[in-house]
This record gives sequence, structure tokens and C-alpha cells, in this order.
Amino acid sequence: NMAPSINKINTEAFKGLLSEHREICTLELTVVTGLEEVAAEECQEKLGVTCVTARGRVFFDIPIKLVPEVFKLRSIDNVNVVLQMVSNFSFPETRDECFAKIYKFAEKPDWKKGMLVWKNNFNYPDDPIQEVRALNDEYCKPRPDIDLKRMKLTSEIIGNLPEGILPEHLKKKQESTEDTNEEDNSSVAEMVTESNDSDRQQIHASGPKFRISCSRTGSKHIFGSSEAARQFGGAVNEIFGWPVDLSNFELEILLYIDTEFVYAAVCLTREPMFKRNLTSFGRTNLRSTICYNMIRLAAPQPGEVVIDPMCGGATIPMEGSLTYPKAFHIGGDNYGQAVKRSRDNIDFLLKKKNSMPVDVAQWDSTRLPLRSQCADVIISDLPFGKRIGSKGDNRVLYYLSLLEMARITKTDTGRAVLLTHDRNSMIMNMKKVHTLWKSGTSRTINIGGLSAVIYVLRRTALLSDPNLKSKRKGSGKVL
Amino acid sequence: SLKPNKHRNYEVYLLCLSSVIHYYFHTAAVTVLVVALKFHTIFLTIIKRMKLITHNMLTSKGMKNVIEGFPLKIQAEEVRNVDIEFDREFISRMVPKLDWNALIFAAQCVGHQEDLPEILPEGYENDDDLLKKLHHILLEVEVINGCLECPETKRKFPISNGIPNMLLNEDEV
Repeated sequence: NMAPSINKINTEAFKGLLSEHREICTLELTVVTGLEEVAAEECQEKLGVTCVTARGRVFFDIPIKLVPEVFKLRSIDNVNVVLQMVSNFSFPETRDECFAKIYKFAEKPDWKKGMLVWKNNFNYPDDPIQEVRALNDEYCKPRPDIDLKRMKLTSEIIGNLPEGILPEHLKKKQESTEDTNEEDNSSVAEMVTESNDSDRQQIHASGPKFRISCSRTGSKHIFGSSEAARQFGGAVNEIFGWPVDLSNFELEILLYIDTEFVYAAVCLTREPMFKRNLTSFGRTNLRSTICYNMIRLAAPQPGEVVIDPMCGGATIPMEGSLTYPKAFHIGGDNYGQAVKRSRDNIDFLLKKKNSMPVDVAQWDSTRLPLRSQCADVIISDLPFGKRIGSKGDNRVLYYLSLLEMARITKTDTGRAVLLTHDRNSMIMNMKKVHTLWKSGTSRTINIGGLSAVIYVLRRTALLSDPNLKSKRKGSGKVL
Repeated sequence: SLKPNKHRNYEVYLLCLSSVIHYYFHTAAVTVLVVALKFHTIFLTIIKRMKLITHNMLTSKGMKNVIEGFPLKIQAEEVRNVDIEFDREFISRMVPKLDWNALIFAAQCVGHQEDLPEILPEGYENDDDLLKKLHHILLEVEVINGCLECPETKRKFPISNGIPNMLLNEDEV
């Protein structure tokens, strides 16, 4: 059940994109691919808005004065205010015409509204729009020598570009026209100041320093994302007089091109929201927004006990105690370093907020030191390739852990939300323990290019299954 | 880094001494340093915890020859009180899940028996006084250092920096 591609969105559905609705804007919130529905639910619950979902994002209209509320959401990573959406851009046949169309596209959006939202969000002291000039040029002077430098060999449009402009490293590629489905990575146009032969560019440079981030997908395009960014950015600079600054920008403008679907947005988050829980030890931890979505799927009720038997740095119990403080959250891990890390992570948050109903212990997830039936919810990011005892592999670890999880979790009402990259071990063991755990939904998510699956399981009425004894010999091997 | 408990008194003396130095010689440096260290350890000790609500669930049943392994006896070397927001709904829903006798036992171990009744009374969910006491004993009393002792084998599981280590050795399983 993947969320629809952005091409399917009905752009007419958003009042916030129309200037006549002065009080309403349209927001785009990014979310880990696969969890869009969960994020949409949080938006509905906390903001009362109905979302339109697309892959990796949700869109909705919201009164401008309520925008600050959006930053309290826990399921989403970035917030952008959408300026304009076009579902059928109709890219022309030649590169120059494409550049011209993209250049002129910068005149279309409702910048006033978008920049008002931006200004409020960042407390920018003045009105960022001090002047509005018409575009006199056709387009910016293209600089493929600069803009195509960072294009990847895997880019699907290399074959579409005229050979004369290709940089060296891409020329070889043009000979073998393999079709790959790689997205052209979002790229930032290197708008070198001496290009565009523009003294115009610098004359009235005032207002917020900006950059364009362009993300382009589509096998038929005859230009790269950096080239599009250059055109759009050049026009923005010309219209408003804002200076370009690729590293110290205050204003990040997003240009998104998916085949014929094009939209422009202004970024409202300097850093993705999942960074808020991180400490310096956070490198390998699961993103807090993913943690939140998993916890949300489990829906902990007041007075329930939520346990993460393989908690690592305790990111899940921590996020749980912040967002569902009416439940009690316990994390445990067998690895001493991880447990220490948990403490430091919790410490960091305690300095900001006093009350966190969370506890951490050191234990073996295959031999949980917990009374039977004491937990209501299990939420965990299952490890990949961990070892138990002296030997073992993931399949055995998952099997024994699933048994223990079943033992400590209340029959009927208990549930588990488990994330794993090791689909095989999980599926195999879910079959084995089906008398104890009933399989619910499974969601494939994409974390930084790697796909993983979140399984939701429900506890059956059976207290224990005598056929599933975890008998082990001394070495820890399962018989 | 975390200071062992016995050094805590030295910190206090150092703090007083540096305050005196500061007063007389207007040298803030030492005071600031000591104050920072002191608060650093306080903050770290705040999260060094084992709450009694967790104790209510811990067992040593994973050990061989152990039948119940519950409740574990708390031998607390250091106990601390913290502030946690009182949530009536949370406490009244948690109560039926607790092993009441184990809770009384734990409270005794840490010297916080207060006046928790021997038997959970009917209508506890309307007894705010009792709920607040329960809130305190379950969430606000934390064992920092000590151990948990198995009632059957007497095996001690250490608690250090508030984290109980329940890992078993090869020969214990």
C-alpha cells in the first residue's frame, strides 16, 4: 500500500495556493516513505486538517496563524510552505525553451503569502519583499560546465543531453545508454557570481540571502537539476533583488520537478525535526520521527507499560515518555555501552524537561528478567546481525526474543510494533510463533535508501505454546 | 565523569571553600568550576535511576532452579527522590497491574513504607491521598546504587548509576 506518486495530486484541491485566500497557506511536510498515513493521522488529530498524501510527504491547507502548531508534530521531518504547484508543466523540446519556461515560472507563485509565512516563522525583522521587478530577460545564461559537474553517472537523462555540453566524466556514459531508475539527486545550483554577466545581479542585492535546492526526477528531461535551479534562482534574484549565498543562506527555496509535475516551496525548517532529540551519541540511533510513528501505531493507552527489549540508545522509550507520558516506558539492552548511551540521551532531555516516565535496565532480550504478562506494548528496532552467547544468528535471536516478548505481553490486548531490516528472519519466525502473535499490518519504509519493514503484531489469547519451548543447551543453541 | 558517592562530601567542602575564596578574593573561576561539576553530577544522578515501578516487574526467573524469583529484595546503598508530574489517570490505571505485596516489600526495603496499606483498599481510584503516595513511591523514589537479591538463590544483581544489570552468567542459565 504505497502512497501515491506526487504526479497524482490534484493541484486544484489546495485553497492555500490561491492568492484570494489570504489567510490560508498550503504546507508540505516530509515524512519517512512508508509512514505517510501515520503522519496524516497525527496531523488530523492535532491540527484538525485533512491531508493529501504522496510518497514521502503530506500536504494540507492551514490558517497561517496556526503554522507554529505544526512544529509540535512528532511524526514529520521537514516543513515547507508551498508557493505554487503545476501538474502539467509541458516542458518544451529545446533546452533554451525549457530554461526560459523555468525562468518565467518564478513569476507565477504567490510569493507574498509564502514569504509572510517564512518571515513569521523565522522572525525576520523586515518585509523580505522590498521590490518586485519584472523579468526582462528570456532566461539566465546557462552554465552546463558548472551545473553538470556533479551529475552522477547513473543519471537517467545523460542520454538526453547534447554531447557538446557534457563534462568529461559523463561523456563515456553516453555511449552506453543504460536505463536506470535513479533519481537525479537534489542539487544546489552553483550560481557563481561572475556568471550571468550580471552586474544587475549585485546592484540591488538586499534582503534575505537565499539558495535554490532543486530535486528532479524523470527520464525525459533535457536538463539537469542544477540547471533548473540556476534558472529559477536567477529569476528570483532578478525579481526581488535577494542575494544568492549557497552556504550562509537564510532562505531556502525548493524547486521540485517530477516528470511534468513542478512545484516551488519555501523551507521552514533549518534542520530536520528528528534532530531535536539527538545528543552527540545519536549517530546510530533510530530517527525520533520514526520512533514516534512506531509508538503511534501501537497507540499506548494511559496506565499501560511499554517495553523495548532491545533498546540500544533508548530512543524509542525516550520518545515514548515525551509523547505518551501517561504510559510507563522501559528500555533494556544487553550491551553495556548502549545502556550507558541511553542514560546520556535521557539526561540530555531531562535538562530541558523534568518529567519523563522512563527507566532503563541491562538485560538479555532472550531471557527477559520480567514477570509474565506485565507489558501491554512492545516496540523495538530489531538488530541486524547481533550475536547471542557464543554463537548464533539473527534467526535464533528473533525466535527467542519473540517468545520472551510473548511471555511478558498481555494476551488479547497486547501488541508489538517491530522494525527490522532482516525481513527473512522476521517472516520465518512470525510463522513459527503464530499461535502467540497474530500478524497485523506491515509497512515498508525507506530510511536513507535502505528499506526496512515495520510489523504490527497482536497478542493472541494463548498464554504459552508448549510446542515452542526455547530449550537450549549450555552453549545457547536452540534445540 | 561520574563521581563515586564517597566523594560527594568532598564536593560540598570544595564548594564551600571556593565560595569563600570567591567572596574574599573575587575569584569566580574556582566557584564556577565547582558549581558546574556539582550540577553536572546532580543532573547525571537525576537520571541514574531504578524506579520502584520497574522493580515491581523484575524477576530472576531466568536463572535455572529458580521457581518464582520474585520479588527481588532491594539492598539500596543510595536512594534519591525526584519530581515527576502527578497524573491521576496513570496511577489509577497502573494500580491493578501492580503486584501489591511486592510493592509493600520494596517500599520497606528502601525505607519508604510511609503509610501504604497492607492490602489495596476498594475504591482506591477515588482516594487521592493514596494515589499521590503511590505516585511518589512508584515514580519518584529511585535507587541509585545497590543491588537486587534473588529470594531463592540469593544471587545479587548490581544496580549502579541507577541501572540494574540483570545479565546472567553461563553457569546460571
